Amino acid sequence: MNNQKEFIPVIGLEIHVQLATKTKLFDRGSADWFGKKPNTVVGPLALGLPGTLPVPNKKAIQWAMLLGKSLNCKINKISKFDRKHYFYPDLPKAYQISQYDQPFSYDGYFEFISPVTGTKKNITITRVHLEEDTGKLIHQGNETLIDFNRSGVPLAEIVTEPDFDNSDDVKRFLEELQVHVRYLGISDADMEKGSMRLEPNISVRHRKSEQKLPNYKVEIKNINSFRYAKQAIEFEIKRQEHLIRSGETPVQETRGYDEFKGVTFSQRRKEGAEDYRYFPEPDIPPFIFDDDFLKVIDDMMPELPHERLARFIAQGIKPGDAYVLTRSKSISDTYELIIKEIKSSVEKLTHKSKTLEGEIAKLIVNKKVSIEKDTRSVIKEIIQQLTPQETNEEELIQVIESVIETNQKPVQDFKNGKENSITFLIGQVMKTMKGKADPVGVRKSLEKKLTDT
Amino acid sequence: MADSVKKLTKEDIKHIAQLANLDIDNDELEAYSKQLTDSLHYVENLEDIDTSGVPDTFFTTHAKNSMQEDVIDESVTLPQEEVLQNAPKKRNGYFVVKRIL
Amino acid sequence: MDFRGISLTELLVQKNNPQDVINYFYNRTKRHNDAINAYLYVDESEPIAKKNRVSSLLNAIPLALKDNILTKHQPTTAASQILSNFMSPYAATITHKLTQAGATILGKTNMDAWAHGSSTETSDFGITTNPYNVAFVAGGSSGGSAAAVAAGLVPAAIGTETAGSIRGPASWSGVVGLKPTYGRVSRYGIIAMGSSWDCPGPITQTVEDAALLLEILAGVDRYDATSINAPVERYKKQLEENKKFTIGVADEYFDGVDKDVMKSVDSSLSRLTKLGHRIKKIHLMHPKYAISVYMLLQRSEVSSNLGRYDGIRYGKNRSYFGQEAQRRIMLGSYALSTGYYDKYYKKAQKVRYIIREDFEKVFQDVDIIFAPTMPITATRIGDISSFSFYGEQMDVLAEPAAAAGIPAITIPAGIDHKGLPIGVQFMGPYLGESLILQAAYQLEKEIQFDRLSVMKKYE
Repeated sequence: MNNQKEFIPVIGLEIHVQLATKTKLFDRGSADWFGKKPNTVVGPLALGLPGTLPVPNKKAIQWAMLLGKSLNCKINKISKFDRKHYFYPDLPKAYQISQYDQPFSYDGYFEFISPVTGTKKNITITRVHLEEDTGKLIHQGNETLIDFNRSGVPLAEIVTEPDFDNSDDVKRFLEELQVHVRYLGISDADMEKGSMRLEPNISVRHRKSEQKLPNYKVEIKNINSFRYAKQAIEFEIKRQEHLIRSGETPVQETRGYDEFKGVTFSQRRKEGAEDYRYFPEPDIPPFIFDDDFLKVIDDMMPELPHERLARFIAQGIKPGDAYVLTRSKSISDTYELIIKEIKSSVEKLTHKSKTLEGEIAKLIVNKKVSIEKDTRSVIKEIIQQLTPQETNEEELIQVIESVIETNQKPVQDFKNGKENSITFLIGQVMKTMKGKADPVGVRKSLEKKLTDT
Repeated sequence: MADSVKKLTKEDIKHIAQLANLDIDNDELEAYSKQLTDSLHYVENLEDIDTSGVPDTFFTTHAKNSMQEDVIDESVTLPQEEVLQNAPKKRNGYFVVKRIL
Repeated sequence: MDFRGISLTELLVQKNNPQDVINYFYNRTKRHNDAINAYLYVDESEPIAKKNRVSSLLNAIPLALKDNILTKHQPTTAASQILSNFMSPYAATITHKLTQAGATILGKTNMDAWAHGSSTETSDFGITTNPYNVAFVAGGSSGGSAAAVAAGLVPAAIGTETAGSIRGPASWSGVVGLKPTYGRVSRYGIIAMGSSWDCPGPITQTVEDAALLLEILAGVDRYDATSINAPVERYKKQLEENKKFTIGVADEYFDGVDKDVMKSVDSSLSRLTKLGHRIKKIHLMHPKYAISVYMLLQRSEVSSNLGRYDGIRYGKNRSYFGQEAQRRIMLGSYALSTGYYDKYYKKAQKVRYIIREDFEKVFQDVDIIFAPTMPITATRIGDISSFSFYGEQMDVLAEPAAAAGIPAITIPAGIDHKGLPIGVQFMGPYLGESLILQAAYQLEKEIQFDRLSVMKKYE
């Protein structure tokens, strides 16, 4: 555990969530940029043409505040945008419109169960603010190509306090946050697609150090999946520990992650810290939100994953199953529809679980029914599975024999000790019997048949 | 109030120019440092004005809460040819620059 | 047919053949532009009047637009080498409004490059000379628009003012110039200089014309979040109301003002009294503080707004910036930088708040304020180099109103001993365009400034 290690990692996160609004953050051009031909989803503002002016997207603001509120943040009733200046070819105006000292929301928290300790971990959310996305660069030989389709798309940035001290917690936090964001319906939060991005800030301190916060931190960019997040953080921690052991302080810088080599590398573009020269965006009037506006945000709040989880468990679903089921809002929504339908039907259904809800949840979680199909079909499958089966014993024996004959390899494998091969055979029998058999009974019969011969 | 403005040196000008992404010729550094220092001397007169109790931010516009509904305005997105029409260097729909390190 | 000196309003009343009017001003422009350099671009295609425009409000009458106003059919350069071959794929809101109202865009006028200046001497495409005397400047940064109207090359023009860039050249070229309330006219499609200062506005032969054009230009714009959602008044009709005002006059605005200018100020005040207005002495913060406020805040915004010119998506790269632009970008970057933000940018913003408050307090006692527009008349070409920050220094009397975002109008009031025009101005409260237009209209009628003689110099 950490209190036996020499060093304790200090990790804070910056997560960008791309909001799925129809239009961009500061102009009403389409925001549907992903996969489109280059520079076909750009208007004058996103291109940084002379004379353009930003006009904020109301939905983006509402969603950013909704996100903040759902993370238990305080809402800033008085807010504004600011200009953040730096020069880079993917930033057409040479400033990004973001928020500096008056973000829409601040000072919240998010809880999850740490896979390391098995207990609740509480992460402080420093702030949630809104900013615009940049264009994309493609490096080709000794040239760089620029596509501005993504320029101006809204990003909600979540910043946490440096409350993490290991990569497993970070990974779990990200997974839970992803589900949380998807429940809000504001983003598909997909790390591979770039609609959820992570930049961890990592430093390391001596266990015995008086200073809680080291005097440097390293930011890591270009992490494209939760798995890479864990790897990148672990690599970086080791790298920093090594430096500190040699008596050096790691340089405060931004580093990229190379997922092929599994290393972080320095991305220093120029010496010295960036001076962003923030000042309030003069083209966008300030916001003074009244209670009516804030009420609309409250009304938008859906049931959150942890709330649904608690509710499902109360319905008698096994906690493990309830957890898996609630990872997807759409699947658990479908589940609720199914429950409503089935309960109002006259069918007499059996269930081994404490409650019918628990049984149906188990079927879905164990993929015993095809939840992707239309609701009618799923309900049919469920009813079929939970209706006591009248098995035609004669037909069953025939089918078992036929399956054994036509699947010699799995049969041999099983006889040679590969126990799992029987699962395949059971599946084949069930398929042929069109589900009109009890899998447990089928297994017994198959085992008997195979060990006898 | 005593004028607390120090003269901007050529190094200062170089640093500011880098911040502003400008290439200043060496023979212009002296002139710019004098002109900028003169400007800074002049604005010292602001120290005469008591601004305690004045709000931190000021917006000239009297408008507030300017926001728009999330509805697509078809006239905003430009055809690709127009997006690229003024580009000095372009290829296959992209803007082209020297490789960024 | 001689349309010289005939106001826009009068031309519309006359119901001339639009093609005749267009041809007249087009030919005059072609003949005389070389001498004055008012235009950077004259539209060769526009003289063929678009027939379906004939019946609308402006009857195809030609107007000139300052070259920082985006148009789709003419280049827009901001008088800078950087944009020398830039064709915008979109047009400014005010361009739309004018063409929808039936105007013909005759061409784009010269200006200080990026609007950085008060004399049009920093243009990358030559200086605009003063039609009264070509050894002197026309003023800036809307020098081309002012000179074009003064010389009778176009009936009216549009300029922009950040602090003094409409009123200054209008005053020095002997024409009318109106800076509306900030946010009264949309900035969408105006190449940004000082985002919290820029105001497009009319430069005309008469106050009535300015009122007419303001009605067309004004209004909230969904493409400009800072534009004001207030009804557009019938400014032209209101001129007939003949209201009488309490007019404030502050000694602080006479500090350092030229003798000849003061003579025009005094005679204007006599006229205003005769007309039945009440002149009241007031105190206003000294304009010199507005110079500091303007210099720091405008240059900060400039440093930010000019960052996008990197030559990647359009235009040439940053090495093509002139010295004035470089100077302003650098001071602005410095004022915003870490360690200096509080002392410079933030302090200037706070003083700006006080300047606005100062005006608001005064407008509780008076309806409008009267003052000279510029402390001196037009400078000689080249004099600019003896000033450290010429632009801000020249516009001292215009900067306070610009800082406060309130409207102001200048009208010609006399000629100095050098034969150069003198301008006087009215400043009004927030959205008080109607008041200052009415006062200016009444004074203009009394003064009867001769605008035709200078046009006659250009056959």
